[in-house]
Amino acid sequence: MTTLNTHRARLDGPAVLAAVPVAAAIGTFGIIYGAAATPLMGTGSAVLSSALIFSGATQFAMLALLGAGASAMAIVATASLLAIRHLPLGAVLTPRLPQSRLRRAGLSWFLIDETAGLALAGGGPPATVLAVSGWMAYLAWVAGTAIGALGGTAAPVEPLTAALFPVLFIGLAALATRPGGLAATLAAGALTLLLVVAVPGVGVVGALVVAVATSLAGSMRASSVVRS
Amino acid sequence: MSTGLLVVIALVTVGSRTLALAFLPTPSGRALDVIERMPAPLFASLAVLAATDAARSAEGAPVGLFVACGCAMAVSGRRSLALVLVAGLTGFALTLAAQL
Repeated sequence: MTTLNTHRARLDGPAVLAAVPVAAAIGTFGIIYGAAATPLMGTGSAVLSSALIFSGATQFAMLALLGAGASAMAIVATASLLAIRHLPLGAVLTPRLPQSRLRRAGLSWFLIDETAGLALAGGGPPATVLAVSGWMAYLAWVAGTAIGALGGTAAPVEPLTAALFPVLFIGLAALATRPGGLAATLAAGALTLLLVVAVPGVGVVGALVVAVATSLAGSMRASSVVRS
Repeated sequence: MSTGLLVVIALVTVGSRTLALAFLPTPSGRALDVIERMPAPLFASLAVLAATDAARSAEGAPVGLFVACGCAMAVSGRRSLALVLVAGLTGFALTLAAQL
């Protein structure tokens, strides 16, 4: 109990505050998803999909494919491709989570880009931030989907959601930039922009490739400096 | 859409999360060094991806997004996520208001 209380006390206010707009944006996207999904799959399946999958990227891709009449195999293949993004997120987070494998398996339910970013941002113990922001995001996503499926709308605040995720990731990149690492961060952004312009459909896999390549280049440069 | 297909997609997604966080070996050596360096480039790449996706899909958003990202980057040196969010969203909202 003492440990639990200590962890609660160490959970910085800014971490929770940062999770609030993220959850609000996720809830708004949930409304949009619910409204778009219901005509294609029905109210029950729309809400069930959010409760079971909890992945905006996968679910919106699924909707686009369903609308285009794609096969079940194509939808599963796309979901698998998008799921690859979890591997680097997990690799980055795992060394920061001293919990048991079982506890980490439980926390993995909340592993999405935004919650991983908040957990890495240092606002408190990563496991606690992941769980708190994850619960907020999950409840917002499912509730938003239900509201959208039942005919609700987020029209007044919808325009702001366009900017929230780019701005959030800029903030997370700034917080995660190590001393002397600004050039690598900017290079990753510039390379991704070039890639997206050159290959418009490259998506999250392209972003992951750029991030890994930039990090690998930085590591190799650092070790060559040490050797010389 | 069948419930079976939903369950399969959920298994793929949840399974990849569990694999990533609970079953992949803890990295060491060069792999650990690369992974330790990865958060900032990863989030920078995701920022660009999110911005380009939003610019393609939101009507009238490109200028607002450009301003929002500029405002966010301008204050990012303060290393406060809340400040970056406030600056970016304020820039975006003001730009949209000016365009109306």
